[in-house]
Amino acid sequence: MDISVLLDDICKVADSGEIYTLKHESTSLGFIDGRAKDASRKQEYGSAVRLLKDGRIGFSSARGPAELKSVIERALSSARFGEEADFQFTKSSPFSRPITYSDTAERLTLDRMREIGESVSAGIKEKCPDGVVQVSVGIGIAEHRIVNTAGTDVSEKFSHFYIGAGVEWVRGEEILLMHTFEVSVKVDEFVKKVVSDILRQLDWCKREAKLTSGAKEVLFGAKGGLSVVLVPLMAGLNGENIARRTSPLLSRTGEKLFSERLTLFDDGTLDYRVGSAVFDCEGTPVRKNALIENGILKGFIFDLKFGAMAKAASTGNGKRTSVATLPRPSFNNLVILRGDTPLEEMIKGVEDGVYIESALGVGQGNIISGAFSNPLGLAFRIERGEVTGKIGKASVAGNVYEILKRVEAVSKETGWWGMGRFHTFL
Amino acid sequence: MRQILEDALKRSKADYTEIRYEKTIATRVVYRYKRLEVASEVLEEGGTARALVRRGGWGITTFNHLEDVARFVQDAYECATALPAQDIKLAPSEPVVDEIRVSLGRDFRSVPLDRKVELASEYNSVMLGCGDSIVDTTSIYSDTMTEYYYINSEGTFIYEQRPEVMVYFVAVARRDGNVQQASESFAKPGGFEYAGGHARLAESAGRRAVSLLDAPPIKGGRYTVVLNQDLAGVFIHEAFGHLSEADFVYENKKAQELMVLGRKFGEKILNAGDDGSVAGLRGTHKYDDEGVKTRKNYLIKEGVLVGRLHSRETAAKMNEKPTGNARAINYRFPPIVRMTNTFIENGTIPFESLIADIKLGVYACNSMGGQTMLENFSFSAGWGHIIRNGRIEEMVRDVVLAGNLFVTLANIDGLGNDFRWIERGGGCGKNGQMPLPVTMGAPSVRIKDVIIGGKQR
Repeated sequence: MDISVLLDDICKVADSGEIYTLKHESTSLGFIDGRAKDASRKQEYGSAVRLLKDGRIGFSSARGPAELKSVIERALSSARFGEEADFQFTKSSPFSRPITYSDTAERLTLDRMREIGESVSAGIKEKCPDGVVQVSVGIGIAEHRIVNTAGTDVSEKFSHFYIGAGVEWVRGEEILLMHTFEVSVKVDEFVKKVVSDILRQLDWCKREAKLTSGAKEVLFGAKGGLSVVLVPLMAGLNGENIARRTSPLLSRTGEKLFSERLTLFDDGTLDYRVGSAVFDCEGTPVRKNALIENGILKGFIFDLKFGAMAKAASTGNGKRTSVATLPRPSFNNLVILRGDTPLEEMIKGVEDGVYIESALGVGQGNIISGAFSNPLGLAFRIERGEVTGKIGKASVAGNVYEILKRVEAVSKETGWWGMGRFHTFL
Repeated sequence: MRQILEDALKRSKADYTEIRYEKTIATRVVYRYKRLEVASEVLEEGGTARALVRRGGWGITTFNHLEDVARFVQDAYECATALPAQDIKLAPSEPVVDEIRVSLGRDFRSVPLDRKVELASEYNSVMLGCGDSIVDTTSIYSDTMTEYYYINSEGTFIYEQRPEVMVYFVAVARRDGNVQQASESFAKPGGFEYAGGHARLAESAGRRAVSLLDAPPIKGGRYTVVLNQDLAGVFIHEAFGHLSEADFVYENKKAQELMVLGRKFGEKILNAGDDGSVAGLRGTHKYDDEGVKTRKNYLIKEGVLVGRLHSRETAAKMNEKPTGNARAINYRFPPIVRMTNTFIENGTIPFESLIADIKLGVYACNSMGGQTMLENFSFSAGWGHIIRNGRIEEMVRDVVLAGNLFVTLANIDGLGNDFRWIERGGGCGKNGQMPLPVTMGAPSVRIKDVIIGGKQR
């Protein structure tokens, strides 16, 4: 059925509304010790209707070829019990048109994926014959369409390609877990990058180092380690927590709350980044949002609903995790402005410290306060400018809003999500 | 529908191909404390194709558009051929053609959403009315109707209507720093008539959360313990049942050493198993998700290990017979070895006699969760009572049972004559597939020498 007819239907029974459709296809291959074990291809096709009636939100969704008419009816009946809201659906023109799709992903054959997976596995297995090497290689293609009663009708196509690799190595009484992940819009030959990242971890694991307790200089590795501090910070910058008035950053915009070395923005306009888009999942144009500039708090991320609650505009961050969920504020690409010190030099400058590769339980506990306390997954000791070995059981604790005042350096290299490495005192 | 699926299947080049297709409509209403959090209906429709080739492995695809089925059957074949040869075989299973339709007392699909919201609200009010110390509640109503289609290249075609209705209650009571929680639920593969009449169940969750505030923590130590039917059912499912799943046994060397058929596990009174063919239970289907007829499978007979649970693949690997235990939570997942309705068979002893000669023991009731690692388990009971001189006395909390499965099974020395199936909500989780509807059933079970956690007495 023509979507404009459906929009007319919505206008007849509700004050305003929106129709969202999503088609997603993905293919993945899993390897254990170099042998492909699982091959699967998944399609997700669905639609969701969100409408406003008498100041309340109605919502329903369907996976599969359900008639949108019946989804609209269900959304309408849920509106009587829905949450109160006072936002408006809008229509706007785009800020930028980043490259979010590459046919290299769609054209990648299973045979080529198998070759890539086997070559990553072999590169790791060669240096770690006793460990179990797990590798996954996959692609995904998504297309969505957002249509609303304010006149928006936008469609976008996205692609991504990823390689994940991990090693589980039982050494004596302990189990060492190493992991890495790379993702891009286009098929990239980051085989070498993935292999070398695991080999670096393996190399640093060869020796054991003792850790004396007390405050240390800490380097948060860009992939896992950094999430210890970024996850609580992201909660504080999320407009949902501003609207609900639970963020400690509420009403602090313009104040210098962090080290001047820290500049952080959310940028959905970058080419070939998986979080980029022309429009978010509510049809708001995606842009580059300054969050922290040289330590000064600049802003937050919002979607339509929480933006209206906080008397702010949407920042183009209304994202959906599937058709079955309502949009919520979520980061497009969180970027830490890269520093000018190479990682190697950062390590050389550390007298007595720890490099955190990964931590456990990230995101648990009362993170909105900024407090964190995490057992370390994999971590290494740095003494007199050199990595001296893997450390045993230890944990890291502190408050994000305290430690981010003391950032000493941000590395030149960038990692996952384009994040830099930085280190700080604990 | 059958024609579309058959046409897609015919074109498959794989050695074996199967398709499952499901159409689901589901309602969910959630009250949290005094607020209605969710009241919505969702539709879901989709399928999965699984193809096996001799010189490869299993290729699996999932899709949401029926019109794409032929393409995804072909893709499953391509995925299967992309894998190196894995020597997978399927144990033989008789092809069947069958239609299983249900007649619901009152079809929940024709009950208006208002009525369902009202019902969840009524139950929520009952819990809120249990005292000023109630600080949080959850009252959930949910219903699901799935139309299920299964077809494979050996000639099997199954159509089944799979209904389910559930109510679920959680009450949290608090006095100063002391926070206590109690939950109750009821679920049935049936109509809306099963959703009503549970005010007393909601009340018992509310009242128990409040009573637990005054219950002292149990003193740790060794006790003779009597498990109520609910906890006994959870124990046999979690601590023993999962070890009987052949995919786990096959891949785990330690499990193979433990689970040798013919090994004596307990006294002659102990009979346990899994039965996917009992009428009217959540774990029941006439056929499993590979089209194998379900049946009663004894796992322990007169104290001796006599069987395990299989899919067609694990049965072939271990040279045994399929048991009808290949199950998937929905079309997004492949079938794996799962339990259905797991039981300890009824005993002969009246409850009063079961506790009569216990001088100091514990009556441990319901389950709040647990962990198992091979033969070691740890379970938290929902609550407990001290048994003193053959009588059930004061309520205690923090009853955590821990021990070794084999030692504990051997220490079962009495089974009540009060067997019942526990028709609860929730479900079982394995390999990311959760919650799978299952049922557990048992009589009251007496076990000597059980270690109960807590401060030493």
